[in-house]
Parts: sequence; C-alpha cells; structure tokens
Amino acid sequence: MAECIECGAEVETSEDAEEGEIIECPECGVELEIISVEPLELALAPEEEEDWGE
Amino acid sequence: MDGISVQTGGQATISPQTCRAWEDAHSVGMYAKRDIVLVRGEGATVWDGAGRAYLDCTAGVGVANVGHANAAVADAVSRQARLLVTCHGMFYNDARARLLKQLADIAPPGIDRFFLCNSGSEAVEGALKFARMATGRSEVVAMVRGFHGKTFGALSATWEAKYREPFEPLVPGFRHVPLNDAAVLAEAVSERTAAVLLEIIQGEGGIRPASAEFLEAARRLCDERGALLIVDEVQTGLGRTGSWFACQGMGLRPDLVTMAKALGGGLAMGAVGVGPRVENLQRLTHTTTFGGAPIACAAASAVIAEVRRLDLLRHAAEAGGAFIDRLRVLNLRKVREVRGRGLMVGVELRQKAGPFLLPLAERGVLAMLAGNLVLRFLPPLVISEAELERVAAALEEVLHA
Repeated sequence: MAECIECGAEVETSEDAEEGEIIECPECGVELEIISVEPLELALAPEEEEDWGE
Repeated sequence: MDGISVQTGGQATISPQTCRAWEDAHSVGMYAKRDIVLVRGEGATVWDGAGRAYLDCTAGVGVANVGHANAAVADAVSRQARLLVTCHGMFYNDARARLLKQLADIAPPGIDRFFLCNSGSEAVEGALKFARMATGRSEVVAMVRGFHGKTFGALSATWEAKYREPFEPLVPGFRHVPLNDAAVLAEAVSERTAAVLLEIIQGEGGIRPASAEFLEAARRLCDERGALLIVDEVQTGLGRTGSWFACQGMGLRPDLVTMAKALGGGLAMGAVGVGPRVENLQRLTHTTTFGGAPIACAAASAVIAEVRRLDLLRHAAEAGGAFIDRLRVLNLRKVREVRGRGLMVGVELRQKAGPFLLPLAERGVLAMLAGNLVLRFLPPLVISEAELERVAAALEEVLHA
C-alpha cells in the first residue's frame, strides 16, 4: 500500500510489483511509476511524449 | 500530376509517399499518424498501399461492425445515391421511416423515438440538451475516465484533462464520479441533476465495465431524484458486446441512449434514442441538416439487416468470449488484466502499451490504445475464430519478446 502523490489516496500494489511498473490511482486516475519496491516509492509517470496513434 | 498512379480498374489514385506528403502538408495535424497508408478493406482485413494485409482490430475505432466493403451496405448506399441523396427533416422519407422502425425494434425496452444525427459527439450533445429540456435542470453527473466526444457539451462530460484543459471554460454544471462507486454517485445526484451519463463499458477510458450493482444504483438514484439516465452506447452499440446494446445485456433500462460509429456502416451517422420520461421536447430547438439523410439511413438499415443475417450478436458473444478466454490463459508477465465483453476487448499491461502497437502491426495486426496501459481490440464483428487466433498468437509473440 502506498499513497498517491497527486491526491493522497491509498494505492494498492500487487505482491509481485516491480520497478518500472505503472499503476493508476483509483481515485484521481493519475499514472504512477514504481521507482522503488523496497521501500515502496512512487513517482508521477512521465507524460507520454510519443504518439501512438490515438 | 506528380505522385499519381492508376489502379486496376482505371481509378486514379496516389502513391503512398504522395499520400503521406499531402496529408501532412494540408491537414491541421489533429491526428497522431501511424506510418501506414490504408487503401482498401474486406471483412476484417485491410490492405496498405504496398499490398500488405492486416487484421484490422481497430475497425475505424469500432465502426466496421459488419465488415469492410460489406456488399449489402455498398449496394444499399449505391441504390439510395441514385434515388434520393438528401431529404431534410421537414419532409417525410421512406428510407428514414424504415430505419426509425428498425431502431425501435432493436432498442432497449421503452426507447422508441429517435433523433438522427451525424456522429457520436453530436448524439451526446443531443442527449444532454434533451435531458436539460425534459427536466428543466442543468447539472450532469458523468464518470471518471468517461469519454463522450470532443465538442463542447460532450467534452464537458469527457473526463480526460488533456482534452478538456486547452478549451476551458467548458459548459458549467458537469462533475465526474468514479465508475462503480455507488456511494459517491449517491452523494452527487441531487434535485438539480438533469442526467447521469455513463458507458456500460468505458471504451477510451480503458475497457472498464460498469458493475451490475452500480448500474442498478444509477437507475434507482435517477428514479428517486428525478434525473434521467443517459447511456452512451456509441462504442458498445450495434452488437459490439454481443447484444444490440450493451445495456440490454445488463438488464438496464436507460432514459436516453446514444449511438453512432457502427450505425452508418462507414457513413457518418449517429442517433439519440429516448424513452417515455423524456417529454416536452420543443420543436426546432435541436435540428441538423444532414440528420436522417436517406443515404445514411439506407446504410444503417443495411447494417442492421446484416447483423441479423450474419447472426453477429451470437458470433460477437461467442467468438469474443473465446478470444478473451484465450488471452487470459496466456498468463503473460507483462499483462495485468484482460477485460471486455463480446468483441470489445482490452489488455491492460503493467507498462506503457504504446510500444507494442508497431510490433503488432509488423505481424499483421492493427490494434489501438485505450489509455496508456491498455491495448484495445475492436475488430469487425465478422472476424472469424481463425483470424482471432492469429491476433492472439501475434499478441503472445510481442508480449513474450
């Protein structure tokens, strides 16, 4: 369990979470990147600069 | 003229290189382009300018439900184009009357009147205006991650900030609550609420299904507080999830339903269906020149007939269900969840999904995103089980790599 750095909501991570994985805050929907598993640290996932066709 | 070539059959066309150059030079650039020039399609397959075939799991973002170059739709459009191409709503028209009757036959219970328009956004605009007019209220409760279009009213209901912020201020009175949180919805719906607006399965928002409990709560809250329930079926409608409209599969009775995309079989068409609680719509307050044009109505009638003839509701449910099961048992490390219903399928990854689109295309499969983490598959409903197996195999290959 970690705290969303955008809205403060509780964010769950799976037991097999890994660095680089991206999760979404269930409250505000912001994308968070797991930058450390032990201890669990989150950062705002970088805005997608690439264009994937949408 | 430079770049012009001639296809078999004598139809002048342009080379892929020239096509890219002209589109890049003379469009305003609102679309992020993939480096593929599509020139024809048939069934679930499209071909690029070099003759390369792709299984099209985009279907024009859920448009080509009855397949690319469907002969019945093409014949209907051709026939109507030679008969009467336009007929404003001030006159009656046989093609329009036929479609309205067909829509009443397939719509959710109680929905038996329709406003015909030209797109999903326009359908949502119409539904919002009808809800305001019928209730005399102005507020709308929409959903987090909901997508309803990019015109001002529809955009006000759309959740994604990157679409909204460049155009603020938007229409006032809109708020967003989390999908499937009935308690928060109960706090949001009041005697000022004109409508609750939701998708049965959020499309652009990541292929996220609304729960039966949440839909039941939304219906009950609207009934208790005098609000109308608008179900946006622009992406889920016309058989995509295995029923004519996804709300029918959930036993939900909306007051208004929006549809578009697959309705016109490739021609621009949308519609708003309304039920008995939508009253007092004042004449001339919402009209459109092209709405209900005979040529679009003829196409839509053919689409409905083709869905029936080809038994596509059953096929979408069965083949789509098998496809979802197939993807789930892959049990790939990169996959967090497989979601969807019928042939509306999302594969949520643990990482950005965008980088996998090109490898899929290189293996002959066109897919889309639904948010940054979800690969979205919306193939024509005519796609075969064997073709879906090729899609699954390609996905397995790129996600294993």
